[in-house]
Amino acid sequence: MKCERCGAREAEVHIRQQKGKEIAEFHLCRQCAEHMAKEGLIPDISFELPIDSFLWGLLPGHGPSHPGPDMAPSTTGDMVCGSCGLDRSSLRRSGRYGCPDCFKAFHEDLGPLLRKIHGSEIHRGARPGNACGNDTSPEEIESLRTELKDAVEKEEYERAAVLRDRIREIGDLHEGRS
Amino acid sequence: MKAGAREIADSPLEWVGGKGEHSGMILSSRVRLARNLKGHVFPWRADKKELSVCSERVRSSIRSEDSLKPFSIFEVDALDPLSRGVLIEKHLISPALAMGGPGRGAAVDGRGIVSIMINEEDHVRIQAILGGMSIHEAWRIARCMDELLEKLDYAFHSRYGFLTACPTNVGTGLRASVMIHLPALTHLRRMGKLAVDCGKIGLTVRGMFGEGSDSPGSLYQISNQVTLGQTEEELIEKVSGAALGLVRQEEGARDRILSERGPGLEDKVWRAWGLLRFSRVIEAREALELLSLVRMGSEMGILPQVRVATLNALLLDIQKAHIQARSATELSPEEIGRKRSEVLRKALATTGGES
Repeated sequence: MKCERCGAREAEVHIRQQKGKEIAEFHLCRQCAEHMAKEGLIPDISFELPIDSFLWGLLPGHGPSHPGPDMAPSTTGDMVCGSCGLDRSSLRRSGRYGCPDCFKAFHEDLGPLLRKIHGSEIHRGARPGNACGNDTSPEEIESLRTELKDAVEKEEYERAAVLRDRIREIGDLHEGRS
Repeated sequence: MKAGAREIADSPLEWVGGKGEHSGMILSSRVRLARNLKGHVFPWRADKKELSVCSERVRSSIRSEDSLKPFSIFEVDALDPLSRGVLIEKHLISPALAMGGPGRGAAVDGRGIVSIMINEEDHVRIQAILGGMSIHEAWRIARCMDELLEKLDYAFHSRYGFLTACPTNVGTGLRASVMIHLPALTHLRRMGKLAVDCGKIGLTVRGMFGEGSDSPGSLYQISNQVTLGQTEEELIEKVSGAALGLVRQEEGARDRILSERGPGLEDKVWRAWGLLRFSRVIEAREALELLSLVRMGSEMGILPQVRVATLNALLLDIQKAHIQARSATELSPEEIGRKRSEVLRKALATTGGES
């Protein structure tokens, strides 16, 4: 795809911006994107970002949509973590979470982000002793099952396989205890 | 203060001893685990009070554990810049932690295997380093430390695993890495392609000194990119498999160079041996390059056998902070260069007689 501003270079920066009900899309080369950011036509995302915060720029949607359970609107209208006060734009800028509760507050972005980074969003490794199985609530298993269905529907079979393994692991743990 | 830095420079590091398989090419195996405390903001967002609270919780948890009695715990701010430099060169603390600040500290065991960094990017970073291909063993040690500290009540999510400040560490929080010496592959300009291949299977290749795929001294670090979605054993197996694969490739590359330009290689290696044993002033970069040739020459039987432990120790002893820490006076850059050549001459003079 060519840059829609200069029409010459390859488009490397893809932005979807939500303004009210409308979604504006931009497909730009780096030079034009930088230029337009300076003019304030597109969000000012620095183009020399470190890789971590660069990843945030790859996520769809820039504006807040549905707040997570621990999310509260700040005075500026941006979403913030109810526990530590980190807002979404700071999160995207720094590429770092502020506290463990941020993972709940910004849960909407989390799945896609983790899939981009790790190719997965389900932990299969070691667990703290006290979290072993006991911590897995029925809701958690239910949400995994819902997601499994969703993954199969979308033909994301790799993800489905991981989800299935995880559900089975939890099942084994519960059986092992009884 | 000086005595402190010298003491740290002289303290043992287990991996330097060169035990473990393939310790000629694989210098060390390291496992790092990132952990955070539930109910506390991550260090980068924490104020002075919060940092101190977290630091105290971690410290008292280490102190209360009988098996961790031999650990020495310190505040970074209590160390002079030279001591911090020595600790960085020994890879016991990271350059980021060495910047210091309230509540930033570390705990190190007596054998130089385990270091626990407090309030770095995450509240707790446990690291275990051993010599040679010992990545599975390093994982067992790190996990053991992890279980001892578990009573701290880690921030853990049943779905996402261990929660970390940076999403690139979420899940296992595990980074497994090996430091590997690949002079023949570097000479044949194969490292760029191998680094790309490693990238395809989720591994990162980085030069130990300097940046990019061309690393002075041909020392590279191979580590896992992702931390989530695979078990620790799977991640470690991947790093281990790649490292052993590289060892075989390097052996093949050495054979090839020897058969194609044997005399040229021998000359190059013997010249390196001569320079290291007789020069009177030497820069760190040159020393690293020459040590790389000597290490390879010794392993290929071109040179008299030099002990792996001697070569490992030299990688640390020729570095700036180590040299300065062992000197009674403040050294100028030129004096450092002279001292460096002295260190090398002394270490390699005795070795030569063993052949």
